[in-house]
Amino acid sequence: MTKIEDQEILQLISNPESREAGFRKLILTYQTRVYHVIRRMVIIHEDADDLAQNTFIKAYKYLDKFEQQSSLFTWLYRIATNESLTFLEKKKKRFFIPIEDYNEKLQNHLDQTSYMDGDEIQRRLQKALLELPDKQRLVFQLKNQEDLSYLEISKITETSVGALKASYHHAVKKLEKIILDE
Amino acid sequence: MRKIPKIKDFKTPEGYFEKLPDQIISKTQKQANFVWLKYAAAALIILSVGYWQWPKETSQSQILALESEVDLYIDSQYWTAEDILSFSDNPNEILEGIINEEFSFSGEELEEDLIWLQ
Repeated sequence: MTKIEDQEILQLISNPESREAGFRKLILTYQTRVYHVIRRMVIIHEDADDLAQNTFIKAYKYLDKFEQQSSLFTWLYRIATNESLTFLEKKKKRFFIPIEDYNEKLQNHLDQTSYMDGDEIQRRLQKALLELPDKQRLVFQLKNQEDLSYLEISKITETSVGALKASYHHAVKKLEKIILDE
Repeated sequence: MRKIPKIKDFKTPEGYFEKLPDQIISKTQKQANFVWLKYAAAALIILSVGYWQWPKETSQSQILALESEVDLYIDSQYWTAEDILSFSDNPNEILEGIINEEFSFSGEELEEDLIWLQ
């Protein structure tokens, strides 16, 4: 999204009379990307739906404090990815369920064909991704799926570019190994 | 390092993105009302307890127990904002108090919460 569009949205939001219209424009502009970045992390639609809604509700709550040091898109992605990672962490801790069990649940969910569009390679790749640690998976998704630069990912995840490059490299190596071993 | 193919987007239920903005906006409005309702209930309890127990002192634990009970009624949606306010002799005074409290936030807690959002 362009800076001009962001400016337009922020201008509408800053006026109490057009605040709701501005917020609606913000949702319409970013909802698809925000939803999909969350969905790729949490897999299940109902969870992604809750987290996407929470992301925008948080954004609405704190929009007055947004200092425009980053773009709206980076700011929203930061909230969305933070929500996703916190959610996954909680899920895996809840009732002392081992991490493997939750991953198995997500892998089984991927087998429900009605939720996923794609061939067998796509499904295998998605399952292989679930074997990566969540943060590494996030870096891979942002780089490979969203085509973001390391600098942009660094702003979203608040991680150094060097660490991100290493993380992405490890993720790719692991994925290649998982897919080749199958 | 080989280029790993992109994964196609997951399917969403039909019409999902058409409905999402309205769902989110209605939630932000509900949340705002809910905050007001809680403040109103707490203010009302303190006023009521103060009136009935005066000049006897009421222990803090009694007030807290009453607040929890009222919160339960609100959480279970048994009482609405209008119900709570109708218990009071002077609802305007309570609303004014809430407005002052609601819009004077600059607390450290909020600031801390915002650090990672900047």
